[in-house]
Amino acid sequence: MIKRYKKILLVLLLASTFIVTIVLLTRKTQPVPVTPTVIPKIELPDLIKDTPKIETQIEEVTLNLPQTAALLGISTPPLITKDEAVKIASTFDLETNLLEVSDTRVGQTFFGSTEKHFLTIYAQENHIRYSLQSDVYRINKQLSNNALIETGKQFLLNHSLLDSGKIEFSSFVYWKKEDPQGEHMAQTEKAEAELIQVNYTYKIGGFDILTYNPLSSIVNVVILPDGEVFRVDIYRLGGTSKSDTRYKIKKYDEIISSLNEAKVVSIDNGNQGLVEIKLGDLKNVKISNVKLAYLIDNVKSKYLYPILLLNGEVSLYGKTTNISFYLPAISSQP
Amino acid sequence: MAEEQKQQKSAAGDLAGQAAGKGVKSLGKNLASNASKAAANAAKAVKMGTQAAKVAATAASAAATAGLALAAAAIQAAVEKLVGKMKKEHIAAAILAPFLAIIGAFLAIPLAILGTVAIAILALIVLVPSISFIINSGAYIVPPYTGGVLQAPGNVESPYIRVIKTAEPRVLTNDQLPYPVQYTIQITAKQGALTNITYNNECSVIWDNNRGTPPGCPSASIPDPPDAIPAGTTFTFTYTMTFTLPPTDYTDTLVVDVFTVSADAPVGTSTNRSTASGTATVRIGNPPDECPGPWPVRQGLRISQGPGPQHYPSESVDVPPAGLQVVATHSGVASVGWEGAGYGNYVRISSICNGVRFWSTYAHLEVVTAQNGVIKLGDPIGISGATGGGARGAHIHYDFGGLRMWEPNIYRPQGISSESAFRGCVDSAGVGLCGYVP
Repeated sequence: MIKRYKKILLVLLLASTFIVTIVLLTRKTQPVPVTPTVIPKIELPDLIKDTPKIETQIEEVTLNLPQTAALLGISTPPLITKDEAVKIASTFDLETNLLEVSDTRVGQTFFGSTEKHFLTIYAQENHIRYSLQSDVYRINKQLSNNALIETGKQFLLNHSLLDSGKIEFSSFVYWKKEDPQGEHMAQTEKAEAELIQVNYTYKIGGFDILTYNPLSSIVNVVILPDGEVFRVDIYRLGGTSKSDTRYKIKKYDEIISSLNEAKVVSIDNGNQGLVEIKLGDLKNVKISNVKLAYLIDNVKSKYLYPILLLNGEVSLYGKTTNISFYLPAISSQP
Repeated sequence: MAEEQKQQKSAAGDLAGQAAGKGVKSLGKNLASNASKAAANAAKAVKMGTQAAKVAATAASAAATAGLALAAAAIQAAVEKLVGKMKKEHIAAAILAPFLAIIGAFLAIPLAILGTVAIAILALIVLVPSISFIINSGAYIVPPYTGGVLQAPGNVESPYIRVIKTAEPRVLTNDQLPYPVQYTIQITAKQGALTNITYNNECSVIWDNNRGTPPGCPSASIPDPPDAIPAGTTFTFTYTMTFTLPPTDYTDTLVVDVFTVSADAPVGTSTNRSTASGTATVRIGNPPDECPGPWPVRQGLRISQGPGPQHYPSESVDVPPAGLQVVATHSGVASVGWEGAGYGNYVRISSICNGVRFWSTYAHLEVVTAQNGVIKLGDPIGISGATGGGARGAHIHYDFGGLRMWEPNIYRPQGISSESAFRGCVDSAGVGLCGYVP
């Protein structure tokens, strides 16, 4: 009798081995990341309705750009729900006066404010902004770079704004009032900074992900000199992954020949409204620096596209100030 | 001699012909015989081949069986080692275990679903009366907006679609009525083909409020959208509206209409549907002037910066803080815009004041609720904030193009005695140097 059971057990073992083998052989492999066969063009805003004549002060030898770059695939986390918005607002004691409104451009939006601060959550964009209403003079504690970076990260973490593990430090921008009586801000040195902007980026190997304001990274925290957080502006991304295909980046000659496609995105550190400017107002535009970055225009996009950030100076209304352009980075040459 | 040779040749030919005839017959017989033999041989060969194949198959089968037998023997030996010491009950349990596991796995899924549904039903039984109670008590998790009527999401500029709408002519005198105005719509597929296209045209007439409710727009026959617009191409069509005299009177009116196009976004791009719109206005006669005057925010607020060359554009004022309900200070045609730096989110309203074309701009908005198209005095525009660049503290930036930022275009600020005191003022200390919203 035992022998009979043994035979049955033996048959079962053989059968299960066979089934496991078949299952393993026929199991589907992980989906391969999709790379678009046709690269959609980046639609850059044409705020000045054309491109001024640009001179370059860059020499070919000083241009330090990679020859190729991948597209960055975006994985978007679940969009921000009302419950989550309330939870975030509660970390600022704003949950009781949080408004739910429909923004013409971006849809469902939550907004809350007090005399001290305000919070805006663009739910459909996974975009969160927080700010104090205004700053007052603060003692400059000359905080170390690490302290500033950690202050920003901790703020994001403590207010459930972001999983700080996903981001890495990118750059500092130091600001002070251009004129003590005015509202415009100018860039300065760290020691004199009245506001310190800490830019972070998602982990993509050293390249910044920029918004349409070239001085604002996709995640940035502005800190007062005494260490209090003044403003936060973040787009949430689930993560990024590079496309299989790498695309040729424009070389020097192609950059020069395609300068007429560059679009002005900022003048005078963003102090200057652009829609008022006529093309003829911009004189002596000179570009002195070119940098590769990635641009986010919409968290619902499937990809981030490499762009060239062109920085230089311009004469506007008799005053020389800084100017920035975006230019699509992918080469159109075969 | 020659004759002999001919006769010999002829005889030889006859003989050859006879021989050939016999030969063919013989050859045919031989061939048939050979073919038959060959067929027989072939059949034999096939038979032998089949037998050989059978032998080979048998051999292979035997080999496979032997291999399998060896493998089985090896596994049996291993199993015997394993099972040898097992009791009957253990072996039975081992046999039954996989079946029970499979049955368990199959049962687990419906049981999990049933469990979830049961819990959900229980939760609903508890939550629905609770939520009803909360709502009926007047409490809200997110309180309703009380600052004014907020508008539904409207048109947005699309990265995939460009819509340009033009009217010809754009200006008519009353004497010219009735007149057919031709509208041209250009729809460009900016990136990839557009499919599943739909249209929507909203048209409004503005006239003097003393004339009562303005009429609707004349009827128009707008053609159906095409099935698709190929990438990089522009689809153009026209239609006509005829503006008439009484009984439907379009004298002294401003006609504004917004043409909205929706389409499936191109494959490989961001989202499912994309929408864009274009606006055209037709001015007939002398529509009412829409001069500004009121402030866009409520009374009593501190003005932080007045107009002047240091405040670009120079005809502008700032009023902090964020969170203010901003309203239109005059009627006109609104356009919603955005700059990453500079203005941030803004709304611009174009109109005519004392025969002069002008605009008012409301910038750094955190939330925009105005839509492209006709807007009336007092309509909500959005909520003030700090979008865009440069601005250090949150505020509404309000500016004019084509008008001076002083009386009568804006009410005089409280606490300010003259334009010279207002122009160029900056109140960063919050002590009222620029006065207060009257």
